[in-house]
Amino acid sequence: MFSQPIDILIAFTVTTPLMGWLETKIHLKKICGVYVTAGLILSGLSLHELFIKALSGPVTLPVKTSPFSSCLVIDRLSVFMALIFTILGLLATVYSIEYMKEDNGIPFYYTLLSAMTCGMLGVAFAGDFFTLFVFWELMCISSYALVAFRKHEWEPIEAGLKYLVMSSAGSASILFGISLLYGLTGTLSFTQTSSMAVNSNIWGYVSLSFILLGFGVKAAIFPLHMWLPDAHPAAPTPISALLSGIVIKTGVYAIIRSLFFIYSPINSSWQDALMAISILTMSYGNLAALLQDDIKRLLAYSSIAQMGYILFAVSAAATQANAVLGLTAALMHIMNHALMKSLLFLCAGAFIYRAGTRSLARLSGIGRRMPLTAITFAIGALAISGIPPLNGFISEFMIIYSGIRCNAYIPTVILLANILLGFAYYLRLIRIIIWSSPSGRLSRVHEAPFLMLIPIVLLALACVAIGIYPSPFIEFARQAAESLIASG
Amino acid sequence: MIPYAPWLSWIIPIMGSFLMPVLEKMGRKLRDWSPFALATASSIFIFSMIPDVYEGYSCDATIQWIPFFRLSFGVLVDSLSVFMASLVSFIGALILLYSIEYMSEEEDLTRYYFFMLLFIGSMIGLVMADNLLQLYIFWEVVGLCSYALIGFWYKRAEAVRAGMKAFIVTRIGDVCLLIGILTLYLNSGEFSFLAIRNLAVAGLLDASLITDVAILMFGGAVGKSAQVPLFVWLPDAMEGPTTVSALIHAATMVKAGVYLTARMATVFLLQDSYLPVIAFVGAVTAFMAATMALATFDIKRVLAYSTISQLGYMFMALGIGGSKGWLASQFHLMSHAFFKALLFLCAGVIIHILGTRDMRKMGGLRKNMPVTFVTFIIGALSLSSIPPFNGFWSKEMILESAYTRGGCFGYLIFFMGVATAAVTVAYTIRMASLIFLGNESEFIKEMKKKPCEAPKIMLTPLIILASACIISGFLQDFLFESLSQVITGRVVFEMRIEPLVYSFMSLLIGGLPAYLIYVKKILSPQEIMKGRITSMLYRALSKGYYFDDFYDFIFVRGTILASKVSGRLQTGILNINMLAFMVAAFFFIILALQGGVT
Repeated sequence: MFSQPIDILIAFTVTTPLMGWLETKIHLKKICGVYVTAGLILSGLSLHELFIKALSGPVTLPVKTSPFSSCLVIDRLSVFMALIFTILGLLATVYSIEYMKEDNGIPFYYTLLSAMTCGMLGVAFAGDFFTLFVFWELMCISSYALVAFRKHEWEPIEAGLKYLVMSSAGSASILFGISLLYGLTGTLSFTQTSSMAVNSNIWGYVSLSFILLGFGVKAAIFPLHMWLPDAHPAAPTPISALLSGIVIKTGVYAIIRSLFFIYSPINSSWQDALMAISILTMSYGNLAALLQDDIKRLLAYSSIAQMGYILFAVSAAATQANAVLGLTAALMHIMNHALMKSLLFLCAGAFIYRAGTRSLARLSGIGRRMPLTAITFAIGALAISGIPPLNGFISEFMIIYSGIRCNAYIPTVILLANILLGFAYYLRLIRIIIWSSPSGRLSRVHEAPFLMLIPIVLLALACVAIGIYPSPFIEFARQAAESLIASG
Repeated sequence: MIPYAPWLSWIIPIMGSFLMPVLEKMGRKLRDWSPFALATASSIFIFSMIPDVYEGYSCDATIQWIPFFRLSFGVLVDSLSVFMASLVSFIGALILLYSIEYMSEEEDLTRYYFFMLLFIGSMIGLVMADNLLQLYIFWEVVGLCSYALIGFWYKRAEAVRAGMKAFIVTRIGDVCLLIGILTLYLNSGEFSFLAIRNLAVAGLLDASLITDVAILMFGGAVGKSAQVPLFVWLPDAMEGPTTVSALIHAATMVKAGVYLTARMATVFLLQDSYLPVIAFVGAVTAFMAATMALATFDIKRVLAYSTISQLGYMFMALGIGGSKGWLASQFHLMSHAFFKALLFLCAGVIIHILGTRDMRKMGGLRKNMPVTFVTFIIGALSLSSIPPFNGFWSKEMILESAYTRGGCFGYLIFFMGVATAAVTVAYTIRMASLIFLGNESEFIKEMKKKPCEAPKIMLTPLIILASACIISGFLQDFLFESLSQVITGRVVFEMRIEPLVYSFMSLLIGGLPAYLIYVKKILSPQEIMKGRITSMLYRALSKGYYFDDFYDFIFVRGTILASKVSGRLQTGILNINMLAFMVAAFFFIILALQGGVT
């Protein structure tokens, strides 16, 4: 119905509660996790077929039942995003099997997790705003519930509520923008609106501004980021990894879709404004992260900063000559940041799992008790600070180059200063977690469980591999960027 | 040349470093000796290239890496890269030999050897790189290794702090370097040295572009090679083990900046409008750092300031311009590599035996440690450029090339060089006499075990380096013959009498007061410090001209303040969050209205 990967996930989402019922009958604790893992693997495998089809041009799948002639249009950009979403969703699920085993309501957790992944895939595949919005809400609603999953504690409930209110306001704004667009053009399909030159009209810009406002909430751009430092740390760690790694990327994806497909070419004053916002976003995120004591909160602030870098590349791409380079840089950083930040969150989760605290002061020196986690954590931290030959360097380098290429020297220098600042607090993090001597409180801590180490080690290997041989990934990202620009 | 030598020379140490955890499992002794063996193997590969490059062989072997940027991964073999690589691997191997005994009491040696080998390997990779981006990558890995090694003793807070400081300060320079590389790439479409050089020779690169790019790249060198104003990390980096300091100062890390500047000079061959900047920064650094060495009592810090000052000489020489200055700088780089490695390893022996770095607690060690004493004095004589040791020949060449350059610029640089030479002699005499001459200090008298000579395994590198200090001064013809292939034309140095007279005068001016104060003890340093001006001067010197305090006040505290303020913005109150949402909505609508109008 909605293309194979989504259909598989929907089927698994619907049947996971049944597995939960089965679990109580036959006392197989891990069955739900394994079941969803299998679903994600199947869904990922079926992506391969779509990928080959999308190579020769966008695949259109009509969904007959809808009154808005809604459809899925799968081009290489969709596949690129979908691949990141599925792989990280899969790794987080594997991690959850061990991490969440003490919690109550595990079947719900996996149902929501798989629904959220499904929603993200739908966002990536959507060919019109109606379909996009439906899947968007599927993703959002599951993520609210996941943030507040540990409902016996106060912090997740409060954070979940804030997230819900902010994000709903954003959704309302998106809906308003979409309806304006529909009023202007009479259609919501991406390909049709893109050929109508909606930006010749002032209402076209108004609708764009509402759409950007709504997606900006999810993408945590300044000053719409305020829910993030509360929500991301409060969620269970695998969910934090997903929220910071990929859920915020759907916001950027939707912004890229709107700017370069529907509303392209955008006005140069919008480019300057976007660049200014990106600078504000990164500076705020980095400065706020600098003195954090809560490890997950620090990582969450750093995500805001990284979204600033991605947005910087997006705004640099807004000039015609720079479009492919800027978008490739943005997509590379979307992928790399997804890998690095998930890695960091999962490592942090392993520390929290063993030590039972999020405070850096208490986690000091824990790396000496968990050497493998510590090394992978260091790889993630160095990668995100742009140290070659790790993957973060490649994409940050591309972002800097795209900034210089559109002659924005001063913003680029601010960007570099920000990377340096980010580097400073990641070094601080490495010093506290790895270099310090462990305190007596941590004397009984030992290496993380095997099932949690699998995703961590895989992510770390990916960070190193992409850093050393980035060519195929850059090529993939470039094709994705070109497919967007060529048809936009 | 052994086949694949240019590749294996750096792949062997880097791959070897990743073997360390495996070797640890197979036995401690194997793990301790294998780094030395690997570094020796690497230096054999590099030495095998020397005959080829001497006869004019050069090649640029590449494999495709990132087609998106038309970027390859390659090695560039010419006399400059082989010259640097041989120094790095030779001195690296000696230091690893020395480490076997020096570090034997420490824990966590696997980590130590891992980073040492990676350090040496990436430095060789850096000098063999055939394009700027590859150089930058190794450049950062070298920075990473220095961070880990300076902070090796993680239980000492200062050591960890010093490691972070080194990494962050050098990365400030790297920002300039990266912008420079990318600007050059933007305008030329090339990363490769040879391709850019061809463009520059063909006149396809704008002169003002070259000036901008070269100065930006020099910014990277200022960070890495600890020049004013980014030198503050190097004295603090003395918190690491002495072997690490020796490696950083003599072979790796700080020499990377000199190498980069020298390499870019061969690339931008015909363009030298940016050189005066380099010369001035070098000259100012040389003099300031030398004066700071006068007011320090930590033996390693004195050596660190002296390195900064000697690096200043090298940049000065590069900045004088022309083939003469360029060759002199490389010659001095070699001399400095030998005598500074020697001095650091001697200092290591002393610290190893006494357990302190404070020179006030030393004294009278010449009887107890005769070999160390003699080798240290050879190093000190080289440092203060007394003939016939290598420092004399190379420094004389720098001064001579400044003098023959002439003009207001040439003479200014020349006299700053002479003044630095005077201060250098003074602090060298002060250092040597505080450590070795005079009577034994209270500290030594109270030691349970009398100080004695170090084990043979530590003395072997000292003796090798000391003989290198004597011999290498006479290698200039061989060196210039091969190095002049990468620049244009042959150069003949002649010993001119005027610069020689000036530098002998400087030896007297600097040496005599130091001799009277520290050796003859006619004047007491405490008496001199009592004067108002001298005490102020002394305080400024011992504080490193307040650079550190300045940075701390402006950047560190400023950033922390900004961080606190931005932390306040995050109240977590829902109403305020929604207010921010409204502000953003307002902003976007204004933008839309404006965008629609224009």
